[in-house]
Amino acid sequence: MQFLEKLFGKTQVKKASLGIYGPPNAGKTTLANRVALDLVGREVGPTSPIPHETRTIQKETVELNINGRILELDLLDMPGISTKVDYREFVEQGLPQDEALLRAQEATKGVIEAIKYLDNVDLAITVIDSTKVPYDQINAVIVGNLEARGIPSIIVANKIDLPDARPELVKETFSNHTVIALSALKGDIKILYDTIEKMIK
Amino acid sequence: MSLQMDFIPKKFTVNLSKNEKIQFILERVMNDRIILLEEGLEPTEQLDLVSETMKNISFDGFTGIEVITFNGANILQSNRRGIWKKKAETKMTMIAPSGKVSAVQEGSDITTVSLRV
Repeated sequence: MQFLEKLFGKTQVKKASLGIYGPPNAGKTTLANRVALDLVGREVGPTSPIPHETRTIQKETVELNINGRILELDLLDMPGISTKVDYREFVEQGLPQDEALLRAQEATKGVIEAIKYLDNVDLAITVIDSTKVPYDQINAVIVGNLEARGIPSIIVANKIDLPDARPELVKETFSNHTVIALSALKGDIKILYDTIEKMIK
Repeated sequence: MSLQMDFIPKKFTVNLSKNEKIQFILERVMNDRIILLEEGLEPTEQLDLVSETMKNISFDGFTGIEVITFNGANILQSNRRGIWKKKAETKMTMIAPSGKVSAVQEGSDITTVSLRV
């Protein structure tokens, strides 16, 4: 069969699922949108400064061409993982009370869904907001659980376009892991594709 | 108003299953107590704790937890040949009701925890 594929030049296709994890507002959907726009020309979902905008898993299938081999990736934009959800924070940020309550209710379910799905991903990205201190417990919990499950993972120190960004602190905190620094909103993300390519090999 | 903190020794948690440990922690934290575990939670236990926390959130009462892990020194243990090897890090875990504590790490050694009563 491989011989026939070589003969007729049929491209080999490899499939994998890529889960994008992280705390709320780290830039997971912005990164997923950026990748999806690059590769299929449409966004995965809306973004918002109010936490927990993504409350169900958003999926988009994209293809990466790696030296003639096609990598078909199920891009999974996960709800943000958090240890607390308080609707009053959403009210403070301008949502009406009924919408805030619904958002909080859906957010708790989203966190559970994202955690359950950890066992189904082949590769994961943990997105960390590099303008904040990286040793937030939830970052360590996500990275530790990916490691415990043997899931190859990339840590993205995001938002490096902002003046307060300290991606070097993320690299220092997770010195035993693959950490790349980028801005999902602005700038080049080729480093992400190159890193995925290396990990999938 | 005062906050109560329970120090839970390893000899107590070592006899609990993962689910029992999580239920024990949640019951106390939901009753406005801070828990300090001598034997820190593993990442997998912490993730299960987060899931259970989400199931228990009520929007006029319990809104979640804060988790702080204190990493200690690496333990050196010798094997039968007398070779010293680095084992897992010792660590403690603090779990508190949401908004009651916050931690600031000073350098790589000292963690300052602020309590809000």
